[in-house]
Amino acid sequence: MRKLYSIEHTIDRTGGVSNIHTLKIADDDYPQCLREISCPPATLYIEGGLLLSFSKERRRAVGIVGSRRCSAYGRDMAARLGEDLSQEGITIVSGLAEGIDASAHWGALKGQGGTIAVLGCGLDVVYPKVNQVLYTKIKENGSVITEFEPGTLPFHQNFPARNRIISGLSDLIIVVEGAERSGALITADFALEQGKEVMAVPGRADTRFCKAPHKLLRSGAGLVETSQDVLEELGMDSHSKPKRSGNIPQLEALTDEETQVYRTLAEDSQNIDEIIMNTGLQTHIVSSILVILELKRLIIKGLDSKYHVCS
Amino acid sequence: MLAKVASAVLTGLDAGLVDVEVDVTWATLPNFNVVGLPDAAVREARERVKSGINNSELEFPLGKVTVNLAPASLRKEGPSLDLPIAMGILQATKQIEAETIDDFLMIGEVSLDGSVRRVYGALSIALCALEQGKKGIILPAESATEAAVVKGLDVIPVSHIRDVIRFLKDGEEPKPLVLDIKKLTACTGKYDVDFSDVRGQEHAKRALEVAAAGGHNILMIGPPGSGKTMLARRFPTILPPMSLEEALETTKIYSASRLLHSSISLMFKRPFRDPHHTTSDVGLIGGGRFPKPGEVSLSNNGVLFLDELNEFKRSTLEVLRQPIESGTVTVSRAMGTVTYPAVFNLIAAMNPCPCGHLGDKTRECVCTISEIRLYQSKISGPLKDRIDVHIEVPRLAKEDMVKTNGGESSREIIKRVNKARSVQKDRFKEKKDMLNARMSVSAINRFCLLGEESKRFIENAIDSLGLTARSYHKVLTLARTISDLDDSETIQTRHLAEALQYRTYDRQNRRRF
Repeated sequence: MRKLYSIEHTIDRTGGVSNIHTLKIADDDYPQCLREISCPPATLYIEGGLLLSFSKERRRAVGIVGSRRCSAYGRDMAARLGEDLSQEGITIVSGLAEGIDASAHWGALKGQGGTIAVLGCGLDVVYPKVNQVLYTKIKENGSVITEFEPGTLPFHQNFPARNRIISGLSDLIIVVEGAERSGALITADFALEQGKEVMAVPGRADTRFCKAPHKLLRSGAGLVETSQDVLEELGMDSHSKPKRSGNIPQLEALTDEETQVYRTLAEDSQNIDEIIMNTGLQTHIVSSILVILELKRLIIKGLDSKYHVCS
Repeated sequence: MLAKVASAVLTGLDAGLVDVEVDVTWATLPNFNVVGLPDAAVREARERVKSGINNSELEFPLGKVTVNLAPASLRKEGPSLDLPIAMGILQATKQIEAETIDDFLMIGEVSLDGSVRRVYGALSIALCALEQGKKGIILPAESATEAAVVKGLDVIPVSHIRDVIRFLKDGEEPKPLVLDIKKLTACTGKYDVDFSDVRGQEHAKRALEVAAAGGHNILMIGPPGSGKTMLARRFPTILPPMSLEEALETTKIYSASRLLHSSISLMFKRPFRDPHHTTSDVGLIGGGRFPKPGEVSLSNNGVLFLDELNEFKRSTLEVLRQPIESGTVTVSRAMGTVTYPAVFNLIAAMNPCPCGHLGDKTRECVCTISEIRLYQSKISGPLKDRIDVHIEVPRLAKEDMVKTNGGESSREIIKRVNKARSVQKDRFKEKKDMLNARMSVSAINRFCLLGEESKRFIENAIDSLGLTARSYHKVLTLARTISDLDDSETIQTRHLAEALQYRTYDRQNRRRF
């Protein structure tokens, strides 16, 4: 076993300020649903108040999981499902990883259901660092929990273990994107073992990212297009209409050229040279328009240097 | 009898005058000694000179020959002192008696048959001769072309010891070499590549145009085969033509590094250097026992292209920081300290991820997100800070390659670049060779004023993109260049927006979900 940091050490790292509290398996507030899984965590380290009310009120929870590397479509789907389900009062559980997990959390933060992040490391270790802002937001408005004592580093063997807690807390697991041997499939396996429902969001047939959900769909998982499908599966009625994709944001404030670029991007995600070719606008004009649209949060640039419209 | 012949040796880029004093006495056993801090090549001159003289139907004295190379404190390197030593011996033994010998400075390597071979650094030495008030310089014919660009100096090309003797006797033959500088600029300033060769890549081309106009450094990120090298090679073609001063400086460096072709007298083409990524620190920066110029100096007034930037050793890249900042590089070694000029445009290229296919239409990337992060973080912050323009160069799909046409030629682009450069010339009247990219913070505050609207825009951008102070300044200098290209006196919102487009790395620091 590699070196684990002592608690004294972690207190230093958090600057002596720590709101971590612990739940033992025998405590009354310990979530019942977790007690029922095989090999439940003996101790839970918790920051943020949501988990207590969650286990007291026995709220419904849905886990949204997927790969770190994902497409803009995957991100959009995760964020949209997270938001819509959270609007229905469902708590969204995920793993605070980059990509799908983070998107689902961000989406969920917009609704009333709240969100729970299950970590594969100690509560004082922010991993990955890019999610620092998200981490603090969830601590304020939801819960961040882990079975690992403070100071534990994010060893890769921790993550499959964490996945059993994600599925354990959830009534249903949605897999959004993932490669053939994705961690999302491990979560799905745990869910099936624990007798939970598994659903999957279909993706493009020709990329690696969608092998995991497609594998699940092939073996009988429910197909998710909108939050409606999930609510039906949970036997719930929806209070509000789910947001549809492709809703055009306010374009009046844009110039003609900006609208032209936006429209081209709404058809399909493209890189800058393709936009120049498709719009026929001058290069330097396209360059500046893209930045302006980006600052207006109408479009976003992906890791693959393609621009996507934000939904 | 004592004789004295003037010569010179290179010390770094400049030449130092050396008096070759030869004394021949007869009362002892035959002996030949060279003193005055000679290196091995100079000491070996004894054998070459002896045979060279004997094989030219002249006589090597059978007495005690002492050669002193004054000043004795200066280290002498290389074979260029052979010819003055030989001439000194001939003068001392009265085989030639020429008073004109004092008017000339001499360099050349003597071969065993008495012919004179090429030496390096002739341009610097010719300039030294002019400075010392000499009438002319006698040097090997192969080195004469580069020395001939120095005005006000008779450049006498010789190919054999006999030529020198003939010249010193009557002063007629061989005739001084005369070059027409105008003709030179006309024929050597042309490149055999052109921007119209590049299909598509409009974004990258525009970024290169901006970089050329303001002297900004560039980082290109793109999959293999996307045309990064092709674009970089064409970058010198859109830089303004070299001034005579610049050409002289660059030629000196090449001459001193023995890289100048004997047919080229002045380098009017901007150099393009692309050192391999296994290059050492010394190779890049310069060094050696007698410090020689490195790649940064060889690309002086031109382009230094670092392909596969993250394959370079980290320490190698770090040494680049100082020359980028100061435009010079100082190399200190036991044999002396030399400062070489190193004003260059850095163009760096790298793949977007370890497998190289991130963002590629035709092949899917197989890297994980942490691998990509690690790969891109290999380049240190300080170095990244010194690169103003970061752009992504996507690979064109085959069908697009056929569809698109070449686009603008270098000649059209250079017109705009020249215009923007002349705007900058007016702006920085008091400082020579100043460009937007080299503005100090106080200059930025003075010349990059923003209106109300653009101020609001950039404040919004700072907030949402999380720009650091340094990258904020970079954006301002870039926007200044873009507005110069646009012939606009003020920096407008669209200029700022375009400048932000060239700061890919800043935007990647932003949280994305």
